[in-house]
Amino acid sequence: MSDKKETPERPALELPIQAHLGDQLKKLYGSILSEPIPERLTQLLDQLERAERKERDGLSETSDGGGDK
Amino acid sequence: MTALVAFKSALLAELPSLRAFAISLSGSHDHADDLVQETVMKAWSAHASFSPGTSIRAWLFTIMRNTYFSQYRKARREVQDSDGEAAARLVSAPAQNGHLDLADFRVALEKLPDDQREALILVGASGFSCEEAAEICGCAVGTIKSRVNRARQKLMQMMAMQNAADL
Repeated sequence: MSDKKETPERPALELPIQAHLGDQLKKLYGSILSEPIPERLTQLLDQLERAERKERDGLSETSDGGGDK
Repeated sequence: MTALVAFKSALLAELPSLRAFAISLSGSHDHADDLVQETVMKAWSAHASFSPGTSIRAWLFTIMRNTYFSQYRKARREVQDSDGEAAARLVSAPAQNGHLDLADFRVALEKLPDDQREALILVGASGFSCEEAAEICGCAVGTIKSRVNRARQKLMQMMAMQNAADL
């Protein structure tokens, strides 16, 4: 997947600049990757799991009183 | 039930990547976390359509970018239009060793057209091949390649503008 062969005429000056831009992009992305995950997102997964377990239990136990959250 | 646990922990493991893609795509932490939340909810209810053995990250990114382009782009545009001073800042900011610093790079990235920014992030930061990116975006590989090239050219132009005094 080298893009060198697609743009063989690229001026030499562009290569270090492109490398710099690539580094900046990875740095930006990496800084976001290392941010702590907001609790609301992990809690959402817990909620989804709980809801699904409840639903499955309800199905297997001939559910009643399903109105609560 | 173990499948449920495995799916949940796979989603949990992908949350940082989903956030990074969402933030770099939307340019806003607030919108991004809403976008991640919606992606997770959609993924959860579409669990059955995920084929085990394939990349869950690619699957999630596909859901996310479709959600972004169908719902979030408009909101983002409104924010973007209201702070056009970002562009002015980019041009007037002092050059640092002929390089864009990270904050300026971020502004420049946000100024790219959505489709070009998306392609650049997928290939240049998220670690997808052009083929995988094409699949995620639902377009041809050649389209991804040309979007990435145009994105790079535009970033270079913005950088040249900023560093005009230097060069």
